[in-house]
Amino acid sequence: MRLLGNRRGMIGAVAVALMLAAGVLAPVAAPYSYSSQSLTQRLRPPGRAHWLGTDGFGRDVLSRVMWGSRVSLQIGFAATALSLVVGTLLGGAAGYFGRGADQAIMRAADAFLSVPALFLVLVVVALFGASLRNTTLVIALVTWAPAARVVRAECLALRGRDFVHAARALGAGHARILGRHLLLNALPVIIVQASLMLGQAILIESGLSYLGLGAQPPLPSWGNMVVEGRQFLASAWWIAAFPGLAIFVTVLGFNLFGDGLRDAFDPALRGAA
Amino acid sequence: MTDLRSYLLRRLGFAALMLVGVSLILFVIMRLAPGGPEAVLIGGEFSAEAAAQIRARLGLDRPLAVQYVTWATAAARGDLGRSFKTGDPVVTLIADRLGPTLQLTGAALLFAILVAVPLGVLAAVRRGTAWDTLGSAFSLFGVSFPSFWLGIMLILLFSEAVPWLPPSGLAEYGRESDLLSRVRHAILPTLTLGLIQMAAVMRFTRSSLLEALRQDYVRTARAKGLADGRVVWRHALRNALIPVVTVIGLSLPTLVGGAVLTETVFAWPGIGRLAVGAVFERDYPVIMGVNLVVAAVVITANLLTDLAYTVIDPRISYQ
Repeated sequence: MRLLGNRRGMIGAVAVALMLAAGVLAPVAAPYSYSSQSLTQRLRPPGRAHWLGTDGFGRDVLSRVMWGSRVSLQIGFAATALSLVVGTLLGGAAGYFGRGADQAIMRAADAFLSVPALFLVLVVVALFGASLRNTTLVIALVTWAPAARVVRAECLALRGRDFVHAARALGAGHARILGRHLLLNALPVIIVQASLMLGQAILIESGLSYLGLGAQPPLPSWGNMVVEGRQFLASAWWIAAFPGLAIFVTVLGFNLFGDGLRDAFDPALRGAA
Repeated sequence: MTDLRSYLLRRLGFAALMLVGVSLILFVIMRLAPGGPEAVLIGGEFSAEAAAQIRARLGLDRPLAVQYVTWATAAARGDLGRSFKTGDPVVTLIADRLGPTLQLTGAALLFAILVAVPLGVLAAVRRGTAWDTLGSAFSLFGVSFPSFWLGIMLILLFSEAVPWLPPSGLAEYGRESDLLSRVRHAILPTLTLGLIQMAAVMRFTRSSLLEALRQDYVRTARAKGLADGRVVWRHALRNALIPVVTVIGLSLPTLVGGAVLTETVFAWPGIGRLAVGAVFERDYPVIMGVNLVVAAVVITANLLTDLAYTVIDPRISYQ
């Protein structure tokens, strides 16, 4: 409920909800088809018939931006969920058990963190083909490690606290201590991480589709729309500007929402970051 | 001192192990992928015999383990093989492109740190004022920009709308040694990469400094009458910088990864564009080489980051 009073968090929630609605409602609410071309309507600036203008094939930019959000959001949510589950479990185990488990898990995380994500993603997607499943898997593959690190650090700090000793003295098992005392207390950190990861996943997906490794034309994705707009930059700025703006608003929304959630969860941190 | 030496040795050993791991995983991924370089090399329709011939010529018909060992022993000697496509030595291809990428990423990182740390301090010290709001907005915007779009919008503003700066390339053709031309060409890509990088640094400087300012030793320092500036810069910031250095270290792969997109947008002749081209052409030796070198650079940079801890905080030792 405190979230309602958090202005930034609410702005973020509204932005995300707006983009979600645009994607979900695209089949019924988009003013035009995403693929219908019109030679007479090429490169029209934003106006009454086409709110965000038309592209080089005379397709309506607004309709395409709405359709484009489907790909980005689907991949964003799926990849984040997968990566978060893996990262939290591994990071929690590493932080709680320490020693060998910690060593093994964190060295694996180091290895993944030392290869620039985009390089690895690029190789895998280019060679195995860009599909919803491949892209989701590979984004999760390169984003679990930061999540694991953050969760581990939090668990490491919490492990030595009195309430954990107390729980152990009372006979709580590993699963209970880890799940109930460590991970629950690490929740604010995990949630902030999730919001950042959602944004990250969408940024990676759009980057891939900018490089031509996303949804294939004529299916619109925000990234491939920006590429198509690039060649008309001098004469028709709106083609590249609006889909990029959509990415920006979505990612910003997730970031704001995450901040708001953190403030609501943890009064001690309110307004701190 | 011996502590440091054994620490370094251990880290270097680990780095070598990591490079083997990275190359092995990549090698397997590439060979598992459907299709091969022959389709790209021949182009159009081709017979099974022609494909087999090409695979034999490239050595792709040998067992996987033999291929990897051959590659790895050569790589250990500094020979990364030759490009399938052009026949040029991979080492030469990478050496030609490494300079521009290091210039771009180095300048972007420097820009990010120089702007972000003071901004973060300002936001933390003037907490709750317009400075703070402005700083927060700035850093939130920064982490939310898709770099390729930011780059294109900068081109739109500063190359198309107002033709101040060149939109692409390292320098005008044939003027690569002209410093002014190099700098003018570097501004937009450096800004693109740097603006995105600085957001994280600023965010962490601010929150980490706020945390530090709440500590008892800060109260003690204030209580004994130290000036505000001295408390912030000398006592609090120094302790606050450790997480910041960690964030900088963690963000290095993102920085290098971001270079892939930035280089593509600005036609910057670096490693990133080399990688993109090689991936589309299934130029296995170039893909392997680029990833190996990039991983090595990032691992080295991470090691330097860890060593920076001792400078900031003498209490940290390496055992």
